[in-house]
Amino acid sequence: VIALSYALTITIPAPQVARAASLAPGTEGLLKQTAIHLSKMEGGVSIGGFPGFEPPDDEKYKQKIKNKYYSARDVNDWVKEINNFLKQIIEKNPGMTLEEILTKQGVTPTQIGEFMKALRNLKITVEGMDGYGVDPARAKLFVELLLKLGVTAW
Amino acid sequence: MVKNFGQRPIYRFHNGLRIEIDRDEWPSDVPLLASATVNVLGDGPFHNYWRIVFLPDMTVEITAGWWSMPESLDDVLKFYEVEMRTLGWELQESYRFSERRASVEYCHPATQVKVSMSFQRWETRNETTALISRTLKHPYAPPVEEEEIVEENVEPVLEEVTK
Repeated sequence: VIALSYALTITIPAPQVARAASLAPGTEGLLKQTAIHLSKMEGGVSIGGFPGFEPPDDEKYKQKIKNKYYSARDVNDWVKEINNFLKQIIEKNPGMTLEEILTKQGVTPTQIGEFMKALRNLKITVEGMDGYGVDPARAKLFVELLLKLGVTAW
Repeated sequence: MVKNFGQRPIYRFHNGLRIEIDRDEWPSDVPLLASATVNVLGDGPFHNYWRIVFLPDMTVEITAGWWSMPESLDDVLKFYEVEMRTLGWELQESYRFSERRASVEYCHPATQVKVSMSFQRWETRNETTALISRTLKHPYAPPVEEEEIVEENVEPVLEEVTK
């Protein structure tokens, strides 16, 4: 038996410990991906302090995003991805609202407002495009996920 | 408010209905700039709508419109600041996210109607868009079960008859 003759001391700043303990690994990446997809509908701007959408090197696609020439089918595709991200966020952080998650992530109140507003705007858009290219089941799931995350639908 | 009543398609959701509306059917308590036209996306004009949602304890009525105006974002914000105050709306929330994006939320104290507006300037299209949602919640209490009514009304009569 080898006895340790000294103790190893590790000091971790309290806020980082609190954050690491509150958000599941991978949550930040999922929030970022959600923000990027929301950004596609808002001309590629930054949403909630996360990077905006950078279109691929495809002039037609760039113009589609920059000039909001996207279609209901595009929105349908993006909602599918966002539903996937939101589901994972919920699974990884059970019982937490989106506002709590974003706060723990270090997002400012204004940025949180921006993120939530972008989700609500997507809901309004989806409900107008439902039946015109947005799948009704996908739209329904999106609203259910928002409610689970405490994002007021109305 | 809705023209051609009974001659208009109704889209059914799992928990409600949607009826598309034209510009002249837009709620009069939420002003629009004279220059406002329906926002155009890749498929064409957005389908502005009146939606009714059935929930166990309430009915939610939502009118949503996506509008486009040539005026600058600042001019549009100024218009709404003045007009909404004139109509008695109370500002609940206001954000200026950037030079090109802003959002406001109002509630009307007399009617409890809520309005949410998101504005964005699109320089490449020389337009400012406003995504507006007007929401009113109506409480709902399910009617008393028919069997209970029958029992209440029939039992005393039966007792009388069988005496």
